[in-house]
Order: sequence, then C-alpha cells, then structure tokens
Amino acid sequence: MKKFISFSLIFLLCATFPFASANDVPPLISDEAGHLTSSEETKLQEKLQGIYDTYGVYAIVFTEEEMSGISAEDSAEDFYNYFFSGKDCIILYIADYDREYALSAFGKKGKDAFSDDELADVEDAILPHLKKDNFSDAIFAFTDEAENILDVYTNGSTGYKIAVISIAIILPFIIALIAMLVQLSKMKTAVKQHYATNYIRPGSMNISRSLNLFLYSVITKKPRPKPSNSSSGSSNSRSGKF
Amino acid sequence: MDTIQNYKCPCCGAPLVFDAGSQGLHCESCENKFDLDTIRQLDDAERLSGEESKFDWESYTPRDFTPVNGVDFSNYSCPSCGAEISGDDTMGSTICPYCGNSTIVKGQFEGVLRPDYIIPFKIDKKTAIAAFEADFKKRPFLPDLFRDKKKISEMAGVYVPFWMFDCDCNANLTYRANRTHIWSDSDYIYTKTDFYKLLRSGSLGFENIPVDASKKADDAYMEAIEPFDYSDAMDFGSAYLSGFLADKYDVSVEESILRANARVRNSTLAAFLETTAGFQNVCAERDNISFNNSKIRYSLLPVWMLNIKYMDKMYKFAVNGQTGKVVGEYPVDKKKKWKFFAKVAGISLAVTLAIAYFML
Repeated sequence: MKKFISFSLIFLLCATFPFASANDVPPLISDEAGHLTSSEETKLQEKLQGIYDTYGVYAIVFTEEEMSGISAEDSAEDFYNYFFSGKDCIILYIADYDREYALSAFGKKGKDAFSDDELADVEDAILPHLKKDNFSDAIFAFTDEAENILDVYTNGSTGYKIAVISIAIILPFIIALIAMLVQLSKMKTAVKQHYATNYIRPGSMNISRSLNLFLYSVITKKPRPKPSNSSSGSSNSRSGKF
Repeated sequence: MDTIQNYKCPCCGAPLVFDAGSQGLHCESCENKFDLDTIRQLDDAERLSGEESKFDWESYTPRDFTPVNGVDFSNYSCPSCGAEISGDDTMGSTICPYCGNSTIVKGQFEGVLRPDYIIPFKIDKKTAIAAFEADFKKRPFLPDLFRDKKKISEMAGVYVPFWMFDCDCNANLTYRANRTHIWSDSDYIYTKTDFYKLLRSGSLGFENIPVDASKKADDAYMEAIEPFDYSDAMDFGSAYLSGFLADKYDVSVEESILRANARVRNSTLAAFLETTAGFQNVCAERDNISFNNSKIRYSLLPVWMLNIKYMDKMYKFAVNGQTGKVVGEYPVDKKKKWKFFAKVAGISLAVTLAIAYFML
C-alpha cells in the first residue's frame, strides 16, 4: 500500500510538472531518500536524459529510506512496471536504512546491453561509494558506468575495433605467406624418405601379444559454473547489501 | 637355489607385496591392487622391450662381372665430380649425368661388380622428357626461360646402384596410454582418466628397401623417386646396359645399413602405434627391434638424370626410369612468387575488410 501511495505521488508530481508533462518524460530520478541536492539532481537529470537520447535506454535512479516489505529487486521491478513497462531500462535501486541495493535491466536492449558481466562492472563501480555512504557519488558512478557500457554496446569498444581492424589487415598477409610457402614447397620434390612403408610385405604383420593393462584411475571434479545474477524472463538483475 | 622375484608397482615404482586375501599383489604406497598374472606379463614385456635393439644383417660378398654377349664396354670418368661410370662403347653421350659436366673422359673398361638383379628401363628418353615437361605444369613459380628444349634433350639414362634390404622384423614395445571420460551432474563436472600400460609384440616383414649405393647420386633424389615396381626385376644380364650408363657402388653395405635400419625402425614403430587406437594419449615407452631372415642384394635401378644450368646455378632432376616419376629442385621466379603473394593477399584483404565492416 505504502509503495502504491509512493508511486502515485510521484506520478501526480510528474503529471503536474509542466516541463515533464510537456515532453512526456517519465521520472528518471526518484530520490525519496533525499541523497541528492537540487543542483545534483538537475545535473543528473540532464545526464540521464542525454543517455536516453543517445542510446535509447533509460538509466533510472530510485532511492528509498526504507524497504517496503519486498526485496530490492522487486522494488526495482515494481518501479519499472509502474512507469517504464515495455521500455529498455537499467535501474539502480538503493534503500539506505536496510543497506540494500539492486541493479536491474529490463527490455530487450536493456538486457542485451547489461548482461551479468556488465552488471558486475556497474556493481564494482558503485559498491566502494555505497560502503562509505557516499550515495551521490555512487549514483553518478552508476550513471558514468552505464553510459560507458551503452557506448561499447552501441559502437563497440575501442580495443575491439583496433583488434578487428588489425586482424583484418594482418590476416590476409599471413594467409598469403602460408599459401606462398605451400606453393614454394612444390618447387622442391627431392626429399628424403623416413619410412619404408612401401616395402612392408603385404599381410606380413603378425601381432603375437596385444595387452592393454589397466593401471589406475584418477577422478577429478570441479563445480559447475553457476550464474551469480538472477536472470528471470523479464530482467537481468544483481543485488546485495553494502 | 631359488631366486626371489620382486615386482615393482607399475604406477609408482614401489615394491609390490603379495596379498593373501585377494591372491594378488598390493602396492602399499599407492594402494593399487594387481592381478599376479598381469604383473608377470608386464614384467616379461618390459624385460623384452628393455633389451637393446639388434640389427643383424647378413654379410654381402661382391662378385666381379665381365660383360658377355659381344657388348663392348668403356669406362667414363668425370674430371669435375669424379664419377666413374660404365657404358657401352657406342654411347654418344659426353655429359656427366651427375653434375652435367660436358668434358667427360672415355677410358678403358675396368669391369663392374655383378648385381643380383636389374630393373630394365621401361620408359624411353622421349617419354622421360615428356614426363619432365608435364611436371612443369605443377610448378607454379617456374621461370619461363627455364624451359630450354636443348638442355632437356641432354637427359641421360643411368643404372644407379642400390643395396636392397629384406628382413623379418621382430618388435617388443611398451606404451603408456590413457583414456578420459567426462560426465556431470547438477553440481559438478567429473573427469575420469584411466591409465594403461600397453604391451605389443609381433613381427613385420620388409622386402626390397632400396638404399642408394652411389656417392655421386644424391640420396634425397634417389629416395624421392621411389617406389620401383620389383615385379619387373630381372636377373642381371649385360644386354640391359646397352645404350645406357651404369654406375658401380662406392657406398659400402655397412654404410648403407644405417639408412636401412632407420627406415625399418621408423616404419615398425609407426605400424605398431596404429594398433593402439582407442586411447586419447599414447606415449611410447620402450622398444626392442631385432631382425631375422635378413638378406642384402645388389641391384641396378633405372634413372633418367638431367642437369640444367640456369642463372649460373646447376639444377638437378631425376626421372624414375620405370614409373616416370619426376623429382628435383626447380628454380624460383621471384617475380612470379611475389605476384602470387600480392594476388592472394589482395583477395584475402578484400574479404577480411568486408567481414570487419560488418563486425564493427
């Protein structure tokens, strides 16, 4: 109930806010815990809007002082379903009293861009700040890392581009060199023979003893790799305490 | 006095002790248990394969030969490479077949050693030249100027001396091998590796392994023109030499044996390795190879020889006088070589850049 009232208030605020309603922008920031100053919020709003304009994926910050009886991941999902259902999003949820956080990606593009490895990168970027209670730093670190990941997803990483171009240029010369060496080998056919296989008398091979003696066995086992995130049908998520 | 047989664990090398309960042998070090009969066989096989290989060939006694049937022979010596060749008196050729020197000297016939058999030339000079020219098509970087008809016509037919080796080869071999099986359940991936010792004993027969018995003939060329078809081999007769040159051996049997041993050994190891199929890794541990029924014979085999000088370098070629197989080392046209490189690199570059475009 508390969650419903909270979302309704946010929705009403957005609906009555002339700028927001004019541009039909859903709430990219919901800082109920009040971690951001108004100037930080303005700066963040511009940045988050810029990310959407550039990459078509919403980066969203949602903070609460206290969790409302559901998990951090469920809180992020509720927020998504209420405001962004069907859209591509990455949501950072922070509940500072419970010291819990969640990173959840929704929509096809959102989930493709933020798979488990990328969510782990975002987590690595925000956790040091959260542990020191530097919430605004954590939020801006989330924004920066999300932007980097979306840039790599959209345009490819610089390292990847260099690697592809380098291989595309070097590989043909390697292929040509190998082909040339193969052709060159045809220019010299006078080579020594190391075997006398042509001179084995047909049917002369006689095996008088052929034993395969079992000595011992060694059995090793290693744990199957398990995904560290919960990836349901609707989202890729990562959550924990800080 | 009875001797006490001590067996060692094939896994760790520790002494094995008899286990009365299982009536087998037990290793107190690695806890493995073995059947007594298995360990006896293993010990027996390791003893045999650990013995030193013996390559005992019978000795060969050379026999002098005097031409008969009214064929007059002369000796030809090359002042350039020192080759001493015999040929019938009517030979018009004055080109050394080994080095291409044209100042070959005709001298008095001094006799040759009588071969056990001879494979007569089956293809004539015209066919050999045609085979050589057909071989050009398979050589991608051959300079156009190299195809000099006049030089090619100087091809000379030579009976090259070979030692022929026959033997029945007995082998005892041991290998270490393993086989891996992988399976999994919901929590773990399991890898089971079974270790084995493989014992193989048996015999393998070889016949007519040729080893070049002429110092002047390049071993690589003479081995590369193999194989010859020995069903065409005939008892030696001087009439076969008519119209051709014949070299006499100047590499002793003892020197040639080393080459025959190496080829017999390599082929025996390869043949027995094929019997170890079914294992993922097989590593030869010990081998013991010995011969019986060994036989050495002296024979003359037909080879068309040709030397072509191109850009101040002499290029040698040999054509099997029976099968027409051509071997040699051709000159390389650098312009053709780099043109080929550029062509392949250009096509590949276009393809890889197109792929890269779609990947970026």
